[in-house]
Amino acid sequence: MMDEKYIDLVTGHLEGTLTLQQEAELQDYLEQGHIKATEIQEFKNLYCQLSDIPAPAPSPFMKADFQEMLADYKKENPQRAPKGSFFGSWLAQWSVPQVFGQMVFGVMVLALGVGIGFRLTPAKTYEKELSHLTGEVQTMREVMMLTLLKQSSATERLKAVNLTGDLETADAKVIRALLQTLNNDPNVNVRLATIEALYQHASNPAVRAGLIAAISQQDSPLVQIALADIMLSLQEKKSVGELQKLLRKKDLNQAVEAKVKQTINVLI
Amino acid sequence: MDALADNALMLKVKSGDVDRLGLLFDRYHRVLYSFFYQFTSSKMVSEDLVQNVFMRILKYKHTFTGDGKFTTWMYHLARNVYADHYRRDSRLGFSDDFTTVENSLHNSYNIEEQTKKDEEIQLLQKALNQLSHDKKEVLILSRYQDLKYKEIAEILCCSEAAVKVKVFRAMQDLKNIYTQLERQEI
Repeated sequence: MMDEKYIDLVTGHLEGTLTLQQEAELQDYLEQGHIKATEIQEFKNLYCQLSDIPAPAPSPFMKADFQEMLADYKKENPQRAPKGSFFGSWLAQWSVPQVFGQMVFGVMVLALGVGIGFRLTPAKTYEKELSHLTGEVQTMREVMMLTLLKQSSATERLKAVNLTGDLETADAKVIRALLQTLNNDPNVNVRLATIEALYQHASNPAVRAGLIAAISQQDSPLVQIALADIMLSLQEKKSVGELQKLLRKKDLNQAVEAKVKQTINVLI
Repeated sequence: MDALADNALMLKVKSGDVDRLGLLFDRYHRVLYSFFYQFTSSKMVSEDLVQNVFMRILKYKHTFTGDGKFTTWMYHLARNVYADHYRRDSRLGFSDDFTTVENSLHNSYNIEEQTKKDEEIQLLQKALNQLSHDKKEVLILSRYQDLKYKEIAEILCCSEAAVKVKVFRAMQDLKNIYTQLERQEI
């Protein structure tokens, strides 16, 4: 009879869960004769053979019996819809997958909420809110534009100028910033973009005046031609004086000179 | 078997989606059948007992928390189903108990076609049937149902060390009975 103090080692050996250390320990006991090798082998053989004992397969009627039992149960216990979910049972009836059902339910609730919101909220309040929001966005764009205009990178300043294209109206602060850029920005491309931006607000007399004043201050032929084009487009007769001032410059580009002369002739 | 999937299915059953029980039935009716067959040696009774287990699963679905493994909970119910069956049959005087099982096993085998291994297994079955219920149960759960000692401990509501003691003692008894039966055969 094997001693019960070896229970852990023997049962672990049977289950196949002994650690390497425990295996070595068991081996020591076997070598020292504390545990008989034949006895533990008999244990192992019998234990393994237990799984060989055959069990007949259940009859094919078992599943049918189960289905019948389940049907009886459902009849006796009518299935309640999952807690608080009228739509759940409705969707289940149409065999809609649960996740899809939840999504549809969510969308329906949202649509209902929006509908109720429109009904309950007076139109004027809604418009007021919308107008307020638009104003907020406009202010944010302005702030961003003014911040970007102060950046040292020409690309950033170019972005700032382009941002003004999204502004429905430009206030005095924005116009001032753009005109300052037109007169002082070292980069020609930024200045050209600024002319484009200001042109969109040409209905503003301050913008027109600013553009006219800038003509004689520019030294880049590209900018000078662009400004002449704008004056022509705007049919701004007040710009003739400034254009003539430009013609008096000694080192004026020939192409510019021709363009300015043509513009003056048209405007006069 | 995926314990998480089992638990998820059972939680669905618990919430009222009882059709999901069909999947659990497909997974476990065979192992439950073999579990009962080892005790009853009766196909019909084993099938009835399996059916009873699934009926109880429906009846007691509200007690399933999903904290432990579904199989542990299922074997709890299976053991109770068998205990009720055994109590009822003992009261009615039926002979479907552990000592008479071996007779039915003799009839179920074709003696002429038995190989040496078949004889050994038959002898082992006889030895197993002569074990006390507790010892037989722990060997069936461990070897026949392929459960770990830790899982058996949860099913029997005892410590893993206690399961090891039961397995050890059951194996000792099984070996002694087997040896005796072998001598008788000779």
